[in-house]
Amino acid sequence: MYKLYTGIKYKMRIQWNMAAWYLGIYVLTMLLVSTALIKTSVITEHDGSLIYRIWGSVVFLFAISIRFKEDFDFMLALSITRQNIFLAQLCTILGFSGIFSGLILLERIIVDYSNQVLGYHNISDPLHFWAPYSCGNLFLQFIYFFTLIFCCSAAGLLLGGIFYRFGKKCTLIFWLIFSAMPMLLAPVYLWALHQQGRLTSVMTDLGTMLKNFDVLTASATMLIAATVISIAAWLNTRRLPQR
Amino acid sequence: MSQSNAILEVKDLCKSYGAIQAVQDVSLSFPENGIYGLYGRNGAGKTTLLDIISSRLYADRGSVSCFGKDISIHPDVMAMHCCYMPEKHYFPGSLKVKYLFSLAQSSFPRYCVDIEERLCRIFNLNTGQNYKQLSRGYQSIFRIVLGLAANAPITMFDEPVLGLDAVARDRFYQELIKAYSENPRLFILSTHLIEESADLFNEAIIIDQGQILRQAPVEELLASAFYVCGQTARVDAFTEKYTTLGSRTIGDLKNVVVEGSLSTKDRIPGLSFSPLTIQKLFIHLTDSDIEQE
Repeated sequence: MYKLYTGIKYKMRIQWNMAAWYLGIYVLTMLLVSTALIKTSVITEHDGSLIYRIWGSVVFLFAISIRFKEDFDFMLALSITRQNIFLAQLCTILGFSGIFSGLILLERIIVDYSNQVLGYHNISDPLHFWAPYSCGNLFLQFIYFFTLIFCCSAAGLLLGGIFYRFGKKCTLIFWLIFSAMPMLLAPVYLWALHQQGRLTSVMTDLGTMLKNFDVLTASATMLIAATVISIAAWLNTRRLPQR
Repeated sequence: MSQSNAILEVKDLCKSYGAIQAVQDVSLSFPENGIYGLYGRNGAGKTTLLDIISSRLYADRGSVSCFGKDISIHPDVMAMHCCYMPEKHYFPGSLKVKYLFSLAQSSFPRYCVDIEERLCRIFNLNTGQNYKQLSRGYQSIFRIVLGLAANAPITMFDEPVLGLDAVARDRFYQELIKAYSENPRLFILSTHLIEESADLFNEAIIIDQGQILRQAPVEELLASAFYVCGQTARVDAFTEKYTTLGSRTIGDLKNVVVEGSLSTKDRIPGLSFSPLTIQKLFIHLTDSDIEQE
């Protein structure tokens, strides 16, 4: 048990060091660039709204979850078993999912109060499934971001383990394909749809899906995805040889 | 102590990296506590062997047992009983040395803070620095301190004295003996400094090209070969009945390394006989370029 505790203590410390830098830069940027705080709506007649962007930390947490090599090597040096290494990583992911979901919620509360004081009105983002602050239920919002961060962090953990197992070539190939998707594959796909005369109907279906977006269903889906990804990450880690 | 309850037992271990056979049918037994030396040339398979024993790597075939339990089935046994300090530096550079020691303290159940503090004083290790700020020698010292302070029943070091000056190496040897006398346990050290370390070891293991050439007490190894020197014809006549490990001819004189023990009655006039050092024995066993008969 103490080996698991050591692993969690180490992972939380390392990730918190990085997260502290991220949060510090975020707060400083938001304070220095005050116009970035305010969003003017082109849809309604309202003056604007303070907005919150810290939900972008989902991407940051995905990125730091990919860090695998240093942590895995070090914890093996402390004679921590692979099972405890994985559990420590998982507990850290869950911990940070909770922490950052709480921070997102806190920022929402501050923004909502500030909007009230300053006379702004909340704007519902058309793509509100990324930041469902139009969702009135704070608990649901917490659950949504918790599962979103958990899912993305688990994906980072799985990727980090795969990159460790297969080496730099695998890392390079993955990121080439990943970056090619928006630059190459997406335009080609859209062009193909246009050629087939299906572009309008696909866009209409997408709009319908976004309008019918349900926070609870999305959260449940992401929780299932995160569980499956975590199991895959464990299967990769349990007999992972040290490089 | 029966074989099945040996502290550590390695059976028929094989590991290859593609076409390269790093470890071939290696079987070793460590039935008792002691300090064991692992000698081998670069690429002989020392690190691969230690990595497999410590569960860093997985063998293609064979098994490793710790206190009678197969570590592939019971990985927690090795985690509970083994501290392995590899040659590579796997410690996060951004963390302070003091914090790394505190993590080790919570990870190893028998960790002794008094030993850690005493060794830090002896080696002048500054625990307030980040790990990456340590020189190569001090990074080795850090591993030594951690390995000894962990007090694990099985403690393994891979090249522990890399980058250490002569004074630091001497201190390490003294502290190793002290640690063993205060808390007898199994130490396995791999090192290239054969002459310097030979006096430390209860037994030495010589590995070459993935195979174990010798595992025996150091005294036994020293008695297992000797030099014979004299006129070529006389030396050739003497060595007919022996296995030779190498020879050198200068003019009419020949110097041959002979395998076997030499008794007084085997000494014949006209030839000179002398013992080998462990390093010379190692060289003759592992250097295929040495002139052989």
